[in-house]
Amino acid sequence: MGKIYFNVIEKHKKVNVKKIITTLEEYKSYENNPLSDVDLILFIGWSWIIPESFTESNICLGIHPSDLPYYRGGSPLQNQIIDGMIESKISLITLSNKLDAGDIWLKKDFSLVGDSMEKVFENLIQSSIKLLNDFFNIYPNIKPETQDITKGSYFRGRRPEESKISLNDFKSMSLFEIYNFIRCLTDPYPNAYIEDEDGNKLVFKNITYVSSKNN
Amino acid sequence: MVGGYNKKYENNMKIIFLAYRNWSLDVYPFIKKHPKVHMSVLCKSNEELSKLDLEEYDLIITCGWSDELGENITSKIKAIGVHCAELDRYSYGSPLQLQIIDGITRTKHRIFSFTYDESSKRAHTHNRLYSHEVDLDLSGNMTDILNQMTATSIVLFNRYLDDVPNIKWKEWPEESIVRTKRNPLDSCLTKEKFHKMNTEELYNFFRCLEDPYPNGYIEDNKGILYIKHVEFKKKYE
Repeated sequence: MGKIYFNVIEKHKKVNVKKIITTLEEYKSYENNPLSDVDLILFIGWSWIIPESFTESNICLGIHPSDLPYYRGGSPLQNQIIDGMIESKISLITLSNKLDAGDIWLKKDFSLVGDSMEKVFENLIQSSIKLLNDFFNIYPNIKPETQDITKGSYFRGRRPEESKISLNDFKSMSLFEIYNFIRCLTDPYPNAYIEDEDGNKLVFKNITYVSSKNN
Repeated sequence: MVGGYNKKYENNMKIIFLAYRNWSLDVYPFIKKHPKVHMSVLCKSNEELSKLDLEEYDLIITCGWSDELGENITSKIKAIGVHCAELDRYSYGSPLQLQIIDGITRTKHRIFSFTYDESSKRAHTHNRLYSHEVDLDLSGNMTDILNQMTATSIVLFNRYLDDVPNIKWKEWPEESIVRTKRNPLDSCLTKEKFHKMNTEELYNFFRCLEDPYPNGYIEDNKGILYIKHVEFKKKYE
């Protein structure tokens, strides 16, 4: 995914990409020797903690796939989809030592529609490309807004065992709720499954849902 | 000879290959290369078949063909196909799905002979004759099974062509049990049925209805959830 962003960003007339880092090993080599002569460091789909040596010496920006301050923390895509959200936003924020609590520079619409996470990722890429292009069009005439983290919501990351749908849940949930649960846990995430009393598991890999309204 | 061979076979056979499903179309390139096949034509529809002069051909080979050939064709030319079941009860349509749903994991893939008997309810093979057979594994997803059927069909048709015209027909035992052909509405599971099945039964139900078949689904008053692809993880003791 990072390569797609890079291809788009490097073509922007205001952008001169000084360095692209794609591995943790390479990244660690800069931990005690932060990059100089750069205006921004952009982290895309970056899972590792960013040390203060980076955030204090450079403006570090990242994209969070929610309408911040809502759905801060872990598993934002899953938590929104399970809550039945269809339309959301992505937020370009300053990365700081507080998770997803940095200043907000810009937001863009983001659709959570799709039978699989692969499709949701495609939506995310398209929204992120728009977001970054708009950001660089405006930059440096843009000021971030402080995020009010007394509002919104915070979630911890989901654990693999939470991908289990109990038979009781299956009974009580609507099919649309089940659909959302399963689709947000398609690859590359720990897939949704049901487990019977013998300990055997039925793992859901691919599904689709048709509303009666569409029939 | 009506319904049989009317020409010399050695390196001189003219065949019609009937197929339209992806897995069966992949069989054709291997059959047309058989040393006994002098000329071959691929037909993907009844319309294409109807344009051919059957008198000019020695054999029709069908692969994954759902339609009946009918008396008009079987009376004019020898026709064979492949049938993926060992038991007579699965001779009436949807053999893959019915065997998987019934928990069968190992069956036979066989060459059968098309005949026509309007009093018989069996699909295609209104008789119980088969000439060649190989094992067929019904575990895994439909993609795995159909890939395997491509391979076993190639083996079966080649063996048949190797042996022709000295084909020895055998008969599988008759059963009184009839597993009737499925229809798309049979792909529906109510939530109540769903809860009565264990995970292995659910796996078998959904995996045998993966593409290209009408996918298994659960329906409520607001919509339909289609289960397109599942996996089964058995707990090891």
